[in-house]
Order: sequence, then C-alpha cells, then structure tokens
Amino acid sequence: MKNLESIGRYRYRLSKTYREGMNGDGKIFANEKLLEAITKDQTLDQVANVAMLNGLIGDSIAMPDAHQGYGFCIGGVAAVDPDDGVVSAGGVGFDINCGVRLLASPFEVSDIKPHVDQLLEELFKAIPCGTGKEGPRKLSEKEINDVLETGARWAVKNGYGEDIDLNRIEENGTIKSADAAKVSNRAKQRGIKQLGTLGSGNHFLEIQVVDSVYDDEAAQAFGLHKGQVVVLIHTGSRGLGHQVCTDYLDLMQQGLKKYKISLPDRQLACVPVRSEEGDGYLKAMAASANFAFANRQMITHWTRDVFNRLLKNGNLRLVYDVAHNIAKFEKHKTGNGEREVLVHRKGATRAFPKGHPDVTDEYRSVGQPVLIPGSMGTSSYVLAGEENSMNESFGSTCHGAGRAMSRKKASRDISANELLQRLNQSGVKVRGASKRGLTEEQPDAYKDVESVVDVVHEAGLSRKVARLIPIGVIKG
Amino acid sequence: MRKYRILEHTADIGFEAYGASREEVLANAATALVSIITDPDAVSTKDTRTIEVGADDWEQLLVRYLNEVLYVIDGESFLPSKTEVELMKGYSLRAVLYGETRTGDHDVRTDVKAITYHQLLFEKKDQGYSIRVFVDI
Repeated sequence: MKNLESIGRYRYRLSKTYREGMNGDGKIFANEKLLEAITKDQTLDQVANVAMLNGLIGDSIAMPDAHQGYGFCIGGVAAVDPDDGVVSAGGVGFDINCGVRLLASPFEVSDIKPHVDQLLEELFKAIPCGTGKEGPRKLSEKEINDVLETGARWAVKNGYGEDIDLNRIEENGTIKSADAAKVSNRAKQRGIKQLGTLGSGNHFLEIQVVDSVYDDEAAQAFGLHKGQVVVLIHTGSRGLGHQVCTDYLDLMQQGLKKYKISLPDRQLACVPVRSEEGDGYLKAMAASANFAFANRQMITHWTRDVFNRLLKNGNLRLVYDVAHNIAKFEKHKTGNGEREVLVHRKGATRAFPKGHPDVTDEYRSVGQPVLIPGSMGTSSYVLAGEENSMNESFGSTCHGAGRAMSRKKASRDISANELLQRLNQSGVKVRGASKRGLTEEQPDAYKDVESVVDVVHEAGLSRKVARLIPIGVIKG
Repeated sequence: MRKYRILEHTADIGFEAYGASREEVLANAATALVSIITDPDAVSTKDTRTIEVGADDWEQLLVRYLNEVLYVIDGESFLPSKTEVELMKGYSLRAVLYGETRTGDHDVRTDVKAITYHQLLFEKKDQGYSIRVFVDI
C-alpha cells in the first residue's frame, strides 16, 4: 500500500503524506497477518485522522489488536501537548475506564474443578449482569458524588474490600483530579442504578487457570504460579461513562466552532486541553474512571464472598487492575526532552517498565502488570511493562484480541447450544444472561490474541509473564 | 416503503431509516434504534413519554433526539414501541414515545451505549428523507 512501509520488525509507518493535514506519521505495531486485517477496514484512515489533531506529539499509534472504531480506532494511542493540543472525548470512547482486574486464589485447578458449576451459579446470583440489571445498593446523591471523586477508595471505605487492594490498582483506584460537579445529573442517575453491575456485550468474569509461565521472576512478584486458579473481571463505567461521553461529545461539537477546529470526522470532536470545556471533560472523565474502579472493586468483593462461602480459606488476592479506555497526563520523552503530555488510550493499556515511579512498590522491580483479556473461552495474558513502551508508544501496549467478525455473522455461524457444547468439550463452563449475547461473543469472532501478544512482546512494549485459560465464564 | 434497515460491519452496528417527511424519517429512526435493543412489535403502547429537543442543524437535532430516546430506554427503563414526531420552530422537535416500562418478560438483546457521529447522514432524497446512524454497543 502506498505511504505504508515496514520500518523494522513488527513496525509499520503510515507516512504523513498519506493524507493532507497530518501533524505526524502513523505507526502500526503488527505482523504481516495482523496488518492485513488492519488494512481491510478503516483503521488506517482513522490513524491518519487522529494524526490531524492539534498539538499531536510524535506518532498516531495503532496496536496489533487495532480495528475500526468510532473516531479513533480501537487500539489507538495519541499524545498531545497540554499547552497547545486538544482533548477528544472520542479518543477515550463511551466506555470510560473499561478495564480489567485479576484476582489470584490460593487454589490449584484440581481443588476447584469439582466446584466450578456451583461457583458459577453463586457468582451469577451475586453479581448483577446482563442488560438492564440494577446494582443492589441504592446510592444517595452524596454517595454517588463520593464514588465519583474517590473511586475504589469509596468502595473499600464502605466495606467492599481491603486497604491493601488500593495499592494494586492503576492510580490507586482514585484519580484525584475528578470533579463530580462536572458530571451531569442524567449521568449520575444512570450511575446510581448501575454501580456494582457487570453489564453485557464483551464484558465478563472468568474463573481461569495459569496454564503457562514465561517469566518466573515477574510471575512470582505478581503472586502467580502454574496450575493456580485466578479470576479475571472485564467491565467499565457502565451507563454513567456512556452518558458523560455523550454529554461532552455534544459540547465539543459546539467547541469546534468556538475554537475554529476543523476535523475530518465529527466523532473526533475535540477542544483545547486548556479550555473550560476541555478541563470539564477531563474532570468528568476522571470521575467516570473512578466510578469504574469502584464498580470493579464491588464485583471483587462479591466474588470473594462467594469463594469464601463455598470453599475454605478462599481468600482472593487482588493482583492488579488496569484501564484500557482513558486519557492521562504523564511524563514522556519527546523531541523537546521529557515533559508532561496528555496520552489518549482508546483500547490500549498503560505498560510502565520496571523502575518507573508510578509502578506500585511491590512490582517496581519487574514492571507494571498488564492484563490482556482474550475473547470468551480463549486464553488471556498477564504481561509486564517494558522499557521500549516509554520510547515508542507513550508507555502503552495492546488491550485484547480485537473484533474480527460482525455480531450478526458470529450469531449466524454457530448456535448457542453448539457453542456451549464446544466450550464444554474444551473444559469451559458458561453461565450467561443471554444466549444471543453468547454467540455474538463467540471466540471465532475475535482475532487471535496469541499473535497480538507476541507482537507487543517482540516489539518490547511489554513482555509475556503468564497465560491464563478459562474453566468458567459468566457473561452478561 | 421500507421504514429502516440495520447495517452491520465488524465491530459496528447502525441503521438507515427512510421516510416521506422529516417527521416520518425521525420517527422511523427511533424505531430502528429500538429494534437493535428489542423487538418493537413485542412491546405494548400503553404508556407514553414526551421528549422535546432543539439544535443548531438537522444532524445535531438527529443525534440529540436519539440521545434522548436512549436515555428514556437506559435511564428510565422505558421501551418505546412506536414514535410520533412533530417538528417545531427552527431545528427543534417534540416526540411522543408510545411504549411500556421494561419488565423481565421483554427480550432485550443488547444495551446500546451511545449514538455516534460516525458516517452520520441526514439527507433529502428524491422521494423523501434518509438517515444513517451508527451506535456503540
């Protein structure tokens, strides 16, 4: 393809001559096969559009799991200059702080196998999931404001978990710049009902087994070993985050005129970082991220509760919790030396290397844990941040497998019963709120997570620590 | 004439809606949106919700209107079966949604997270109007 060239192993450059108005090149991390998938949809156009954002620093980046999204591609990373750059609500997406959390159990797979059905049944009862399900706790207006401003800390203070958990969450589970006053009442109303719910779509909770360990030192630091049972939770800020993004997208459309910004795609709507609207969005986005941290903390509490009720000494230790839809101010190397930039991660995960001051003490010697959920019923990965992420991707890596097939085709290709049977045969039990939801999320609808992870490993953005395979799945 | 059709690509889902007038195409767009979430024909029309919304142009009105419909569905747990739209002065409208409060008996297929501006279209054709909208699910 014209303007697209290989620039060494697993890296491709989309030259800024691809489209007029690009302020930098596009850079795609992929192997040949993943690149082929990436060039089939509008991902490259979206990488180019993002490169047109004012104040872009360095490249507009796509991870190997990238696919066409709305505005930004999913699997996109872009850093902007906070002083003369823009912030884009579409650069974070509707599911603000959609993220992943890993819990380590003291059990081996043989301890759990006989109890999987019962565990799934009880987890399904304890954790509201599926469309329209409400959380069990009815929050007052003051409480929702506390959730928005203090995140997982609010949850721990209210009995959902332990203080130590907070050390093992990105930003310690609380983004301090959050301001509940920047979140609309409408968003709060949606949030009040949905705090402590898993949701639907690609969100899930899986009981998994550590099936391979690639890096003993890091695995040991993360408290993981081969044969161990773990729980992976994938969910976000629910209707609250969707509403915040919707509200600010509308505001940013008006901002385009006010700040005389022209864009190739309205979904990329943005305003200057240092504007009233930009500041409002970042504070509301931080509040939504806090809501998501609290949400995953409550789900963790109920998961622990079920394990403790059904199994003796079933304490689950929080390994880590990462966001993969977020924008953050971070210090990075730029052409003008190290400085603060605003990094948008839309379907991308922070991957700080060992020694980085923002990596929690207990993991600083090995690097920040990165959690990569596979599609339902396939492998997930634990990675650790690597030095090269700081040189090449603003401290970021991939976030998952990436969708490869439409939901309709996925549902047409296999019936729910066939799918359940196939999963059952490979040792995976499933409890889902909706049969259609199951088939839409069937494993073949996604790219191969193994090759995605291999690319970020080989490119030095993050290294493989362990592979997890599911034995029980809860789907919304 | 067909009222709408669903569009689906890899990770995207959306719809095209058609109508002889702006009122009709906007009403059909709401039904198309509901059809992604549940079967509108399986929902009764016993209750109503009224929404009023204004904007600076037709596309903005379209997005704001569908955002309101979505809030009624997700924020108020109300499923619309059919919609009537009345255009007001400038770029504004009043819509009456006929439907019912969601219960466990409704087969809700998916949540729609939001309305997007991706490839958004609201255009006049020879024989009326056409709308294209993609949603995030």
